[in-house]
Amino acid sequence: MNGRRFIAIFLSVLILPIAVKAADPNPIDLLKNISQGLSEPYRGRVISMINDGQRSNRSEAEVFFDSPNVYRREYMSAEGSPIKVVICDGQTEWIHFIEKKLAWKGGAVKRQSKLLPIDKEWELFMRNYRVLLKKGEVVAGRDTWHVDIMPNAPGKPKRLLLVDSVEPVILRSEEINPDGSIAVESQFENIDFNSVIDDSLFHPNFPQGVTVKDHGVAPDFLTLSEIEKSIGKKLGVPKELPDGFEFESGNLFHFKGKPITHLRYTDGLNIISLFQSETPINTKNRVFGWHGYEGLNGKIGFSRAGHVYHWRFGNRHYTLVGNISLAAMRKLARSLK
Amino acid sequence: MKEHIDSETLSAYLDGCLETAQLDRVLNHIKVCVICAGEVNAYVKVRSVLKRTAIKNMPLDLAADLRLAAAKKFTEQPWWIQWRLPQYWVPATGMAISLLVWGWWMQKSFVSEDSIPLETVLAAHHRYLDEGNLPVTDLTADGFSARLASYEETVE
Repeated sequence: MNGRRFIAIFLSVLILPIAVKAADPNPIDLLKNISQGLSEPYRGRVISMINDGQRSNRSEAEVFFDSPNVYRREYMSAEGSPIKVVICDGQTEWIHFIEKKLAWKGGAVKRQSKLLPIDKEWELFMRNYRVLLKKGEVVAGRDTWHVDIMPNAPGKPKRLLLVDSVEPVILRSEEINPDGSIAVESQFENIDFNSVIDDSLFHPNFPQGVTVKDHGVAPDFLTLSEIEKSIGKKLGVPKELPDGFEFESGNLFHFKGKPITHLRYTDGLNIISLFQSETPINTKNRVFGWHGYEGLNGKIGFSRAGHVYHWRFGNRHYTLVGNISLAAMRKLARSLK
Repeated sequence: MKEHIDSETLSAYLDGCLETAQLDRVLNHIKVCVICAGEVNAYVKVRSVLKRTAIKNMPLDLAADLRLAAAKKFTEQPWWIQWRLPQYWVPATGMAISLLVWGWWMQKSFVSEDSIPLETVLAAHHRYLDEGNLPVTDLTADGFSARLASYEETVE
């Protein structure tokens, strides 16, 4: 009897850690759950620090979430009063600049399916990134899973996520540049999954005197041949770029009647945008942190979106935007020239 | 004596420009070599004669005439020759002009009155980032609205 009890205890000691280990979620499943979003409402306060290579910006927002694609974000000034409000009712998104009495509106995020099937995009992600999961630290009073997303190709940023251990919500997020510097740090200061949120918060109710304009940059998801048919010209761009980027979709939009083609490439996580226009793109402004010239017709700089590489070929102007290193950006630009 | 001291070394000896080892060699040599000692004496005599000769200055009227002639020749030249710069300025000026033209052309090719502001394409890029499978790293998702804030300044 004593012998049996000993064996039982011995086996329990052996099996228990395996059982505990088995309770760890699969990191890809965890990320897919985040992608699908939570169906329960929550509210919380988020603080972000963004370093775009030339300056650091602090952003603070009160977030109200109802269901995927239905949300409200109130951005606060340093004094704590709202300066900007973003509202999405699932079909339309409004961005209201309170002091300027101006609201931009456009199609809601994820109101349409992308061209690249979601499974194919996850496949790309798994091909281009390694994911590690471990127990994370407590954030906003809640236990987390620590997820490291590391790129296989050099020159891409690494991401660190602290995901709520119960709900599919990221509580802390970091983006680390290839040189080890932190590009973005963002975290929930507090979060409440049990709050009752008034439905009226998810519908715009602008005060009198607010002008509402269409920003016109909400994306459509067109194939290369559809865009070529629309502009009546060959685009002459590849479907794949170096370092695992594949063409996802593109669209055509206008600025004061001037057409701009926007092509998007993805590696499953990171996005590279390629813009083409016959009108020059003016980089002489404060959102472009000057870095230098590239050859006779090119120039390169920084923005909050990462590197910006602009060049001219014949009568066409090209702008490549992406959060990758300068060397990786040059490699992509060479593959397009 | 098989070898005599050369004239340049003897001259340097008289000028006091020899190093110790060479000076010893010359002193030892001229003690026993009549030819070299004679050459040294000859140099000494020439020097003393030259020192005693009075220095003659150029006549003042001749100097004035020469200056006048030089000035007259200069003023008779066309102005572009009078102000002509040294030869090396030709490639330097050419290079400077080329750089100015290149800079102007680069500026013109990138910026024109009807150009599209970079904010526009950055706004479109940030808007698309929100379509990603995972939320953007900045959990306040401020990228697009921040670009629209400056975009607004560029649109009528």
